Amino acid sequence: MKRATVSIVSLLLTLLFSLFAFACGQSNGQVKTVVSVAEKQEKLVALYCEETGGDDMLISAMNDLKTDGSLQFELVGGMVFSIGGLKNAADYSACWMLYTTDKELSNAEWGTLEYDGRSLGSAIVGAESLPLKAGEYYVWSYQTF
Amino acid sequence: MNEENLQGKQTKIHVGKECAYLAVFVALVIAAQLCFSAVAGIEIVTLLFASFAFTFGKGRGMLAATAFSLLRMLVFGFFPQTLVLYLLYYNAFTFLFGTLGENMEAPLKRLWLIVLSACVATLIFSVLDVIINALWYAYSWGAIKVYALASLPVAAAQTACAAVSVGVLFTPLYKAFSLVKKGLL
Repeated sequence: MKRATVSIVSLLLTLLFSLFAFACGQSNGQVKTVVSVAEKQEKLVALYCEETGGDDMLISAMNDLKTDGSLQFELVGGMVFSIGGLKNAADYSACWMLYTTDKELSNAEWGTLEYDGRSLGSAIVGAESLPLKAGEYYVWSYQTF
Repeated sequence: MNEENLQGKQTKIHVGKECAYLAVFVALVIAAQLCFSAVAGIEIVTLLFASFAFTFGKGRGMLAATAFSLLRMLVFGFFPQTLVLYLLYYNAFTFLFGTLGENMEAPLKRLWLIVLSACVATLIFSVLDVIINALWYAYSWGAIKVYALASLPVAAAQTACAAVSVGVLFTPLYKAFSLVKKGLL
């Protein structure tokens, strides 16, 4: 019984450390995600994804831009509440909307935006859940309804 | 319409009174949904329909569900896929709880089953939402995965909300609706 307990605990610890080593290993040789601010105006912020390292979400790239001072924004309840100091209205009669050139993860029926000769559709999910794709634009537009 | 009252005597149900009670309930549910609409995952529509259908039966429950699904569009806007979702889900939901109410003896002693049913139904709502939107907008498999993953936190919050609200408030609401039901007879 004691031998069985020791074996099970050893197996679990081995699995745990293997997972830890695997997770550490993932960061070596991975392509880094590169997202830059293509354009920044009072009511429009355009981000361009040059390359992605994996399953990075838009919000992680935005946080990196915030860290290096390129972008200022606030999240409230998981939603982008303000960008560059311009906040959503309390009743959401005016708010920041997310559009993308990624045809797979956008929905033109929900809304479209013309930017730099490109037609962007409304993102189907928020920045926290929207995976980045290389070569795509992600545009925040402050709109009134 | 006739229904047996507590003494087993047939009494006539006033159709006008039925309509009035149903109308007030549907208005209450729409107001309740509007109150909590700004907070993702928090709602008491599940609690209200569960206790109403459990008390009044599946017929009245499904009538209320259909009226709610149609009338809420006046407040929240007309979205065909949302209408389909609500009509399917809330009719099935009230059918389930109406059936439970008609067949469960000493329901307040089996509150755990009512809470569990509400939680499972809430999860099914999230799954149905993903399926209907995916079919409506012809999402790719990649988009479905992203949309489903993004729905998980809200689904978890809604399920927790259903568990707490039904667990705590089902009993007083059931008693209140039972009193109201006596007024119908």
